[in-house]
Amino acid sequence: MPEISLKAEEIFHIGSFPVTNALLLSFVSLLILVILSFLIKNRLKMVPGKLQSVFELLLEQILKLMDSVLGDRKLSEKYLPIVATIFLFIMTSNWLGLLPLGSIGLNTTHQGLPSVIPLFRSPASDLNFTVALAVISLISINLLGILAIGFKKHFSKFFNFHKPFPVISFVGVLEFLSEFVKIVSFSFRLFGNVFAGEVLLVIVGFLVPYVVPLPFMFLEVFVGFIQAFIFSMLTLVFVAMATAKDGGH
Amino acid sequence: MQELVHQLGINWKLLLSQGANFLILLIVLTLLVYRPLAKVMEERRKKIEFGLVGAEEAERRLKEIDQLKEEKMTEADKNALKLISEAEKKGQKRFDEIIKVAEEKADGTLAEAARIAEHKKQEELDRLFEKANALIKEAIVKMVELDPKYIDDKLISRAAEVIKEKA
Repeated sequence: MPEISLKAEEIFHIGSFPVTNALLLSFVSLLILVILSFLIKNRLKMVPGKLQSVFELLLEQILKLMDSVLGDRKLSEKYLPIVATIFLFIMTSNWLGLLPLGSIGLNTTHQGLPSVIPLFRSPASDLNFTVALAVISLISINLLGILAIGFKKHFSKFFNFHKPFPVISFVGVLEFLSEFVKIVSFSFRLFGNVFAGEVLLVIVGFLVPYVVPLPFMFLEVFVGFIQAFIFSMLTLVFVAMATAKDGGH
Repeated sequence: MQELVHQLGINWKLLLSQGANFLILLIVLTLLVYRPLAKVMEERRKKIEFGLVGAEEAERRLKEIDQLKEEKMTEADKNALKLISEAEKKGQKRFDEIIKVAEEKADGTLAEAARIAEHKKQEELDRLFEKANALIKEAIVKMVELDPKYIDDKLISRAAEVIKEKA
């Protein structure tokens, strides 16, 4: 049975920089999306082709969803890049992680036993990926909040000394702490779901290699989409709360 | 804490790399996909909106034209009926005039024919009178040849007058 590791395995080093299988697949996802972006940009027409139609449909659906949260198409278009990029990056990474490329790997020995390090691993099953996204998401939320309502007003919900003094201040401290808790919540939710899916597929694939893993694969395709959706929607909701003029209450 | 971070495989270099990957993707997608696509979609939306407004305007104008056509057709029908009626009246008037002229011509022709016939009759009568006169004269000459003392010019003229009256 393949070794199940909580950490992403290192494939090679560039100088002192370790390149893990999760980072490699994250880079592949990036590359695929960049190539698709160039293709779309170069073939952009008033009467869309197939690829452009798919992306237009996707963006239109995301914008509609954002409209229902933000209530304004202009705001939706303003915050579309961060929300849509989170969604596309996580979903592409999750789906690429499901491809049976895990069997391609480097032969090595672990505790004296021969072992195979898979060349690709779903990026979201590595905490570096999920924590990085969670931190960027949180920074974006606060930056967009500051840009929308101003520095003072935005941070007044964390550091508030109005009456009733102790209660409001304590709530502010809790709000401030919750910002850091969000990082943990965001990153571990995504990591937990994707990592659990990977483990499930490895175990089922090891026990019954044919046919039986198929429904689980479909389940993981769905989970990959849902987790990307949840991450981006939570970001959107927090952005909406942070940018609301009345403090999002 | 450091042990936990190590166990979870969190490495600041990998963390930054993943963050950089995301930021590169964010920039690329914003520049190459979101903005151009949003622009194209907005242009298309405007074109469709313009097209729809144009179509509505065209439909409205078509309705107006149809209504105008109906009005014109009704008016044309009325005018046509009026023209037909006037033409019928004019035709009737002209017909009456032609008939009147023809009747007048026919009357004139008949009168002329009667006059000519009368003239011919008179000529024939004159010729007959002359012949009768000559015959009477010849008869009387023959009688006179038998007995010349009976010649009476006055009586001959009177007989010719009687024949003329009887003719």
